[in-house]
Amino acid sequence: MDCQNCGQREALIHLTEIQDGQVVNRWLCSQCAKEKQAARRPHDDGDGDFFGPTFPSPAPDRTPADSAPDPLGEFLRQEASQHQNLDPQGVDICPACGFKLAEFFEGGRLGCPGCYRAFAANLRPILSRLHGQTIHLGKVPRTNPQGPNTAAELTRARIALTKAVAAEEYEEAARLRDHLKILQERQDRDSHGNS
Amino acid sequence: METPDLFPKGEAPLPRWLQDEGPAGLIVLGVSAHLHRNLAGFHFFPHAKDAECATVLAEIREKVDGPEARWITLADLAKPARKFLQERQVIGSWVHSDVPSAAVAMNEDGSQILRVLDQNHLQVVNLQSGFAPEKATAAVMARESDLEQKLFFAYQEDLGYLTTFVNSVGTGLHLAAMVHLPGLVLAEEIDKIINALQQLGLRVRGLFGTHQTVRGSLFQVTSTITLGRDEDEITNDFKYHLGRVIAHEQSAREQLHARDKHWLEDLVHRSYAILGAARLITAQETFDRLSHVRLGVGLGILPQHDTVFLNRLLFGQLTGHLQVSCGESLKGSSQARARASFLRQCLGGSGD
Repeated sequence: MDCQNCGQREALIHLTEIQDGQVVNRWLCSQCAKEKQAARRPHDDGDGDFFGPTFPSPAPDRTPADSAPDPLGEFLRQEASQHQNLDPQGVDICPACGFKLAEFFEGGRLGCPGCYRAFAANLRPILSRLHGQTIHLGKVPRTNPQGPNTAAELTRARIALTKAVAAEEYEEAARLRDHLKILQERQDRDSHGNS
Repeated sequence: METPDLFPKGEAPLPRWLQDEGPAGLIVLGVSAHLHRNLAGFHFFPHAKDAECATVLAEIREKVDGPEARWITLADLAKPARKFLQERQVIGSWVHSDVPSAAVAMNEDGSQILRVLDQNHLQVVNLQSGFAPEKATAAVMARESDLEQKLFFAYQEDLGYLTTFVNSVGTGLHLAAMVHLPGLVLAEEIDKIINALQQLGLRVRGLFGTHQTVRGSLFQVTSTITLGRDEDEITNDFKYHLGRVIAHEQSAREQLHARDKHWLEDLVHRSYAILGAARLITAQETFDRLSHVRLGVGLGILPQHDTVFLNRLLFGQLTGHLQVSCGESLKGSSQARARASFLRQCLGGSGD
């Protein structure tokens, strides 16, 4: 097979690239492949970096010279451009650590656990678009100082109820409906107690 | 201090997860589960200053009492040793030597790892051979259950476990699979598969390589959704979607073999011969040749070898592994020479 770049030498290298989510396959001779590599990454030592399964770019102050473009960063920058008028109810600086909301939009990271509450109004739509949900349904700490996670249990029970109805499992649906009622009462009582 | 026997001169034994074929091991090299946690009451890393990072590390080291007895402070590692550990997935690519407290702890066989100050305060990692995501998830969840008795993790009732980056908040659980998809690449169907996976909330990138480059048809597929699903659902979804990719790959390989038998056998044997004879070989060409050989082993074209042998070739020829093995930094032609020599030795030729 001839090189798909120069069309002259024998193709030895099968180059696969992911560009903007599209895969580009090319058979190249070693010289064209080398030139292509050199043009893209002057400091590439051959086998490149070994990437872990994490996505966001590092913080600006600790960015490796060869960090990859990151989809989360791009996503957040798009979000930021669409959110010029930040929620007037929301704060733009975390009272616990002084981290700025603008920094979050730049790098996708937060400063401390308190940032999640401080920036809740602005984070919610982003979490919804990233994960499709805004409520935790997974493991709860064994000793949860905040008590039982009623909101999550409610969501979980509602999802289970929808599934049971769709599967025509009416006995299970009736049980879940009763369970939901108890949870709802508990949440009403808790919120009443907190107010 | 570096642990001396961790970086032996000569060929280092593979970690256990690369020494077993595991389920669907002809297509999936391994899977890893990554559980992210932060200690309550501290700034997230890297917003925390160095002194606070040191406290976080001290707190974790003091409380951790488990199989990960081997602690390595990353600032103590020379560049080749760091690259070697990155290649084995012990440390993430995110950690840098300018963070004095960044450290990892690992068990004897390199399958259970704690990464400290890599994006979050703590990352519990488990690696499994082949395609066994449920085992990896079970292992990290069990380890975290032990740890939560001694460490107090940042948690918020509605959002779950709080992480530095919003894409891990909730369960804090990501799964990653290292998959070899030469059938789909050669059949030019890989773009359809990648697009479909991305729409299902899975991220695909080259396992080795830079930026968007994919080497040797080796891909890394990672789950991205951590909120609004529990750990079992995340794991089952990942298993289901990847299972379909494995089936497509298997079918693409068989069709390719049936349709272009002679071309494929020529490709496999030619690559095998070059790997066993070359005196100078680049990483890029080696990835490609090894991909052909791995495909050939999967299709029974090279019945004398198994995937464990191929893992030995694949990892042993990586730059960090070669440098640790030779005990020196290798560049350009000296690296190409060391790589070719290693491959010839493994393939029964002369290493001279």
